[in-house]
Amino acid sequence: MENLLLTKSKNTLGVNFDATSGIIELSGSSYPENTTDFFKPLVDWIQKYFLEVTGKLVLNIKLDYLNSSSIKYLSDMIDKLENYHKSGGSVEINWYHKEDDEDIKEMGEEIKDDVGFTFNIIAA
Amino acid sequence: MVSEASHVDSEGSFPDFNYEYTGICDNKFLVTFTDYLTDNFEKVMTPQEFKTVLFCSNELIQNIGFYSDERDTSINAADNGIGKFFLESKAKEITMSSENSISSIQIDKLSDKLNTYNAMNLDELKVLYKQLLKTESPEDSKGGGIGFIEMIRKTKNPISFHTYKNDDKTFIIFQLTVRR
Repeated sequence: MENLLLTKSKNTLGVNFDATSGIIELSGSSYPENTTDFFKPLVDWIQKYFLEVTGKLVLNIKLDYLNSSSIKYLSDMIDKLENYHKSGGSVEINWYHKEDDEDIKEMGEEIKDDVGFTFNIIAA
Repeated sequence: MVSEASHVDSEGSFPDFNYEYTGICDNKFLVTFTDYLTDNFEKVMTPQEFKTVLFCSNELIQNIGFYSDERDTSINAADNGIGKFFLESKAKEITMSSENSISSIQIDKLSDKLNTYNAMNLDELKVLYKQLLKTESPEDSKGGGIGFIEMIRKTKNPISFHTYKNDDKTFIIFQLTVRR
């Protein structure tokens, strides 16, 4: 399975999905011109990983800002991880936030409440 | 068209600031505006205020781009709606507002939705927000229906809105306030 790498831009996230290590990372801000076009390949990659690799997946999230449609897509992505966890797969999220970024911290806390896998909230 | 003005307010040294834009609210403008906001406001607002203003401003601008009835037909893009956006920063509060033409069908839907959201407390809004994240996005929504809810939750204030008619068009104005 191929890795997925996208360079961060002003309005799109940096993406580093490594199929060999099972460590995937999203970083930056997201308010793309077309949210579906940006996020669909990411969700497809994760689904393919669960079908073909079936190993542990660690998602590192380092966000600055997400618009509402990006929040929705991120939530969909995390639902896929939760389903994988419920079916016996191993998943972990490391949710990084800046010390003074209450917004991103709270977003992580709200997601953490609703998932059953390891979800670490880390001030960095 | 962009205009801006800044002066020291009567109570002290905090600079008042006005920013006004009229035009196409596409993603290109959104990137430009976000840069502008970061360069000019990040240092004069608390981190929490800045994040709230960034989120709400961008949601208002994107709403114009997607939903305004007045559109730039010279470009083939989904977010080519035309409207006005206004940001005002004062010592006691920050105000953001948007104005655009709107179809009569959208007015009733929006009014019902906003009146419902404005009547809910923050705990109720959190529950609804989580429910909407788990459901399919409405076909006519660009953001899964959570944009307005998040604006209320982040500002901790209702969204003020009203409509007016000019010639044969109806316009809607949204206003959000962040108390400092």
